[in-house]
Amino acid sequence: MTNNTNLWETALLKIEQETTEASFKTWFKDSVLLKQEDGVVYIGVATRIMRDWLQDKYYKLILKTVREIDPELRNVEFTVSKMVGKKKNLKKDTSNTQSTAHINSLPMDNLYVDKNDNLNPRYTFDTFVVGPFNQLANAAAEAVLNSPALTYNPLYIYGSTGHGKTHLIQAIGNKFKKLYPNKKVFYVSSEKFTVDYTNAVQTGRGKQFKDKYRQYDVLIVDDVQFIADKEKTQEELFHLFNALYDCNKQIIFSSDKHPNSMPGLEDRLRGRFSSGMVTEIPAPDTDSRIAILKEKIASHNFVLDNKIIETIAKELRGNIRDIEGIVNNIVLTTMSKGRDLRLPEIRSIIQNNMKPTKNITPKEVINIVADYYNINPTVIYEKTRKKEVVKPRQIIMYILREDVGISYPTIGEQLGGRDHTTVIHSCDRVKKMIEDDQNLQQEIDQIRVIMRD
Amino acid sequence: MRLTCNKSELSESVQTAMRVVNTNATLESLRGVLIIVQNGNTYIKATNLEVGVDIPLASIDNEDGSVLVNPKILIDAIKYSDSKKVTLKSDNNKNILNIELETGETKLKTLNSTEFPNIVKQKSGDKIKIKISSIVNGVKSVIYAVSHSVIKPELSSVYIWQDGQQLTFVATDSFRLAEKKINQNITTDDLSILIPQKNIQDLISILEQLDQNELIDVYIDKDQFSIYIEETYITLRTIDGAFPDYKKIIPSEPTTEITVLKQDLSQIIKKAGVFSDKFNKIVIKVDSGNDKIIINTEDGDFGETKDMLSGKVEGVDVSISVNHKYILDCLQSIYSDSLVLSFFGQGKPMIIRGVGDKSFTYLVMPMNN
Repeated sequence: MTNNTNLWETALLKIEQETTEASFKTWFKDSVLLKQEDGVVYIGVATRIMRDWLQDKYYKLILKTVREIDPELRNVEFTVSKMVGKKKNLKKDTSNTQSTAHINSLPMDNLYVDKNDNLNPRYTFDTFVVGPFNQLANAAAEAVLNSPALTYNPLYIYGSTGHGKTHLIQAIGNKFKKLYPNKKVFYVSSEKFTVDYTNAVQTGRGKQFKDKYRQYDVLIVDDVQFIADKEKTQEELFHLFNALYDCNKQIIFSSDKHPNSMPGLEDRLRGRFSSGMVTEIPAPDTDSRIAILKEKIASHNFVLDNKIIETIAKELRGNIRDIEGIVNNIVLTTMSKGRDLRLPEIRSIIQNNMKPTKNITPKEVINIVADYYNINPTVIYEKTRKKEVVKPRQIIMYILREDVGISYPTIGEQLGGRDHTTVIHSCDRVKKMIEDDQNLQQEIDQIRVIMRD
Repeated sequence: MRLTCNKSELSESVQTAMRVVNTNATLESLRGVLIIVQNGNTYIKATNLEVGVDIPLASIDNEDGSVLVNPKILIDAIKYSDSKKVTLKSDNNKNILNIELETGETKLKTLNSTEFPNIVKQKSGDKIKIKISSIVNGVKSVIYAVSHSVIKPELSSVYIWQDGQQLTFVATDSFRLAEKKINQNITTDDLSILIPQKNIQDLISILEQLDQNELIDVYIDKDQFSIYIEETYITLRTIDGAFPDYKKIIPSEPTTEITVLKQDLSQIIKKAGVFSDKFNKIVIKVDSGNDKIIINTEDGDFGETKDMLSGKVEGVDVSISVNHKYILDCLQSIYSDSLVLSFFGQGKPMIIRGVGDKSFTYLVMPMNN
């Protein structure tokens, strides 16, 4: 790259001798060397009028000049480029700062989406925290990037909301753009896909729609579960899938469910979805939550005590989006108070920000848990010590205590008149079991999701 | 070169073309307007490299050739005469343009035209047909909100994109944001362009002079926005960049809404503005108990002031500080008599809309207290 820049800088010095000062300033000063490839020099200029002029009037002079420097060069091409004028913009902007210094600005920095591919540049692998929970999905993503369309096609990533699916698939898109600048990536939510499709059909532009989507080298469809029960869209997606797949184009899907447990999906599409690599991103484990928290806090240029981070990670059960919200809140509160927060203050922020559990009655909790474990709710109240019943019963106690906040004696009463010490013991036991048993934590998280709905 | 034409037509065309000319340009060839007779047809051309204009001119007695002249002097040279016709003559070797009127003759020095660039008429890219008034109205409704900083070129541009069946114009300097929707049947897919403020201002100043109901053809290409008004051609540079996905920052579900008369609000904000501090800060309070909006200033250089206005309030009390100029800016873009001010709580932006008018949305960020 330095070589390239030198070539053009030297050429400009020579051209400056050959032209008048005014012409040089007008036509050449802001031009940049974009690239040099196969003996062709590509020069970027700011506008089309300039491009045409250089091409018509200065082509010979420019070609002669660059060939004096490097005789291997055969041709010069001019293009209108956004790179032009970038240097100028590096000047520090001092206008307006005084009158606007006191105004909060709109939070737009994260909202720059490239209209050509719909990707949000904020989502990159640099900010993607890899932990045991998403290791597999991350490895699959890397494999796809290493040999697109060959290893895992399609790549299907599923998991609950807020577990980082969108981040991962957008990061694949962004990385792909960097690795293969000549290929086309497109990111679309399945909802947008549906709207696009119906619009195209209504306005008689079905052909354009087909052509548009078939031109991409990587197609990323987010939240594909939303096409459930939309027969026509599914059919279109099916044909699109086949067309892309046959041309060796990479396809990436995300969804909140495994293809096999997605209702309202046609079988042929289900088969296509599962035909490549299907991988889950489950809820993050505590260590990963700590890592994610640190990452989010660092992105605010902020420092928090490790102990506090651990507390937050442990007390915060929600998904990554909840974690982000709470970190934002902590940062904001700290800034407004002008000092570090103490642990109790952070606790209260967490409590205020957790989604309030609905006023749920113990009976409802019992029904949900019993239903989840496929047992008859009535057996919960009985004095049986069967393993299938003991575990759900303990989980009910744990949830009633932790999430609904009912006192130990009341819980005992509600569950067929048990002693409050039994309840305390059960809650402690579940707490311990969660630490060792990943699956149990997941089961409880799933129950919580059901409870929220 | 030689041509004879109607004096006022020449004057009009040169006036239109000169709007894009920078008479202080470094390059002499860019300081003037080009009058060119080519294959018996006459055109007036001008450019500042970012915007190009090419206007045909009806003329007789033509002889091919071209001259580049200072447009202001040319207009003045023909203005003070009752002559209907004008004849322009030039000998290509002498740097003089002869302007012959029925009443007299002027010898005007010409400019060096050797580096006047070609303005190639193009018809590439997506085509839309649109009324002049739609573009003028859309752009003028938002252009005051663009950023004057050079750091983010996309924010010093007007963003035009297609939102369903509506052509949407947006501008923001990140402290306020204006959005205007114009009903326009668009046949292209995913229209989305950014035109630098300076360039689109040139275009609007030309379009404003024309019949607002006229339909024009617009061609939108990757780096170019071109317009045909019959045979007149105007081309603008667009910039390649991404505009923030601003829809996500327009909040919904206000905590407080007040409906007031635009005229009344404008008056008390102007008054408060007189007494605001150097940051133009005024405080807007909504008193839900008394259905009132209270606007006051504190600690101004000249004193303090406080005014009240009755309005219909829904929601809770709220109080935020804003730059009064930002609010006044948007009022010209709202055609309803009444406004709805929506608030979303402390530290959150406020939204201004006309009552019953969904086409215009204006978002203002509050100032720190």
